[in-house]
Amino acid sequence: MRRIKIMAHLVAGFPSPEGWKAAAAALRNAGVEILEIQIPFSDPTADGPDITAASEASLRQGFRVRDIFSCIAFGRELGFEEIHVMTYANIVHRYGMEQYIRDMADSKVTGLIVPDYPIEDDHGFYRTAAGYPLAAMPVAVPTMNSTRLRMLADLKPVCVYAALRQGVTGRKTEIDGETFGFLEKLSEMRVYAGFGISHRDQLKALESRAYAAVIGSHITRAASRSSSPEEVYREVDAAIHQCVY
Amino acid sequence: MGKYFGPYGGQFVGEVLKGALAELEEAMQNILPSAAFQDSFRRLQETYIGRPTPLCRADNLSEDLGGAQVYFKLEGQAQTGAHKINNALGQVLLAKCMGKTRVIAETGAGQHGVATAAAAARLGLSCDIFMGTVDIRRQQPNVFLMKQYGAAVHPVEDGSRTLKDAVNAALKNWVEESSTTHYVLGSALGPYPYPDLVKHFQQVIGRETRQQVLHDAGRLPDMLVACCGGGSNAIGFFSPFLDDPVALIAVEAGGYGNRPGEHAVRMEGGGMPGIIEGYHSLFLQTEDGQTSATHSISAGLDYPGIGPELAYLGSTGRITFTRAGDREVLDAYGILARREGLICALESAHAVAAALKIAPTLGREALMVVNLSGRGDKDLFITAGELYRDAWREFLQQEAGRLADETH
Ligand SMILES: Cc1ncc(COP(=O)(O)O)c(C=O)c1O
Repeated sequence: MRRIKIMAHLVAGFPSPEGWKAAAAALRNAGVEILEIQIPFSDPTADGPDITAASEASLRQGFRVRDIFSCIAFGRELGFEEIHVMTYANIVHRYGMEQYIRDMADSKVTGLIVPDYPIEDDHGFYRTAAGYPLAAMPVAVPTMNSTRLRMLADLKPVCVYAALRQGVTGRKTEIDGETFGFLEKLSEMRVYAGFGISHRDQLKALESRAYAAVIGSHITRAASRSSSPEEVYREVDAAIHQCVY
Repeated sequence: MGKYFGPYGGQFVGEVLKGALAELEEAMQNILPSAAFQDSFRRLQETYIGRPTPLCRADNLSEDLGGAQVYFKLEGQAQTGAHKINNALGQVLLAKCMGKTRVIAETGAGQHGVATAAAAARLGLSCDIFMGTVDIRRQQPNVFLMKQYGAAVHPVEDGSRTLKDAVNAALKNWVEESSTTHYVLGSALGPYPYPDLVKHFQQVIGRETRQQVLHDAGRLPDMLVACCGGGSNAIGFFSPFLDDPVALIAVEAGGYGNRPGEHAVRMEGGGMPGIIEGYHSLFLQTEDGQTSATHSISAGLDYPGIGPELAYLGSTGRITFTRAGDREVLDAYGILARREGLICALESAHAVAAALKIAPTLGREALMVVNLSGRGDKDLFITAGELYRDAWREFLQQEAGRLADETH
């Protein structure tokens, strides 16, 4: 029995609109509870090579921001318990921040992640979202000092995205005593912990210390191995089975 | 120091970068004002960069144009051939005082990469340069120079494979290595405190100009003209004059047309407010908020964003923005060479092109100073190809043939 939820991260429209649906279906059928969909952006400064390349490929194929709503609808049809949307500040800014939050809430999105809206330079994003039935998730990192942790707590976030190590997405992360020490500082919040997770041993180590483990680059790499929906399904299914138990 | 310029500026970065930026801000406050830093930096400016750079009266051109008396500030005389060294050397020295052992930098045209590599060599830090593969292909001479200074040049394959992608790659590398590494950003943009830090080191251009004009003409100039990519030479040249009755003209790259992808005109309605690469400013972007492709004959102005302080001063009307197209720029480059004996960088030739149009509209008593941010040797492969296409092609083929023969 797995005692930690899985949040799987997919770049919308990657590797193709149909391939994306196949990937989402493979994840749901493997028992993944939470789907995080990334709206691709041309300048993704927090992403590693796999997700950067996936974002580019999706944009090259003509992905438009409005296409996110059909991805969200498909995710709901598949029966994910929660659907979170991640993107960068410029996409939100161009869309109109409050309109973005409202449209996401209307589509029953449960959480929003915008990594380049840090706690104090957010144009009021976190406080605005607090007025809607979804969770705007700030990002916490192990190098945060006590002042910044206090600023984070002052936002009273329900949920927080914990990046388990310094750097960008992609490389494997060792879960160790330091990780646990960091997660303890966030124990008041519902923690979605990620960065470099690709194996069930890491999930087991995080059990009871985080609400969900985030799996991103690992699945994106699998989805990038093919463009035919059947193949994508098989690749993503194999990849996620290294994590579920 | 200010984090915001009106609505623009800020520090829109992932939480992972917050610590490194706070450390940099603290170093600026503690190290920059110290006598030890200022003494070493002044010595380097005089004995290595070659400051002060000359202010040169352009009597032939002024006579031709029949309007303002024109002067040129010759930043191309600075070590490595452009104003970029003012900032690069300052930041590398700061990094050394912070106890860092390595610097990284992005580069587009390669000028900032060359300046950072030279400064790192001079001060004994290791140096890694990030450069888009499109730029590597079109700027081989600068790649060669960076390697001579001992820097490693890392090709960036992301996105449009140009300057903005090199900035992203450098930011990602910095996130991983910030304990040992300082990121030497090359223009007055990016997350706070970079716009302030870069301006701090580039203000020397305006300060010297002020003294030199006062000395030569006995009064302040009426107008300053500078080219504007990210905006480091423009803000450095202008900022000591912001409170004086001096008109400030910034010239953007008009490229070859008005459609998206044909120019790099962010002001004048082309750019829209956005948050990209850590700062809020005006960017050339699509309706969705994806950055647009840009074009300029000069790689240094070929960038979709503009420094936040310039965007703000443009919106208040303190700085007037104008543009110069690729063709006018080549013409201005030729005129300057023939009439004043100065071969300037194609970036700087944008300022010259605007000056050629504006000077005749001013009275004889008016004084105009144009910043020549760089000299033109670096552009040989572009200018020769544009101006003497056949002869240059023949020369390159002959050289390629010679190399092929030698390898046999
Ligand atoms: C000679 C020269 N001038 C101007 C620029 C544009 O940069 P900025 O607008 O930051 O001065 C560059 C950039 O590479 C340059 O090499």
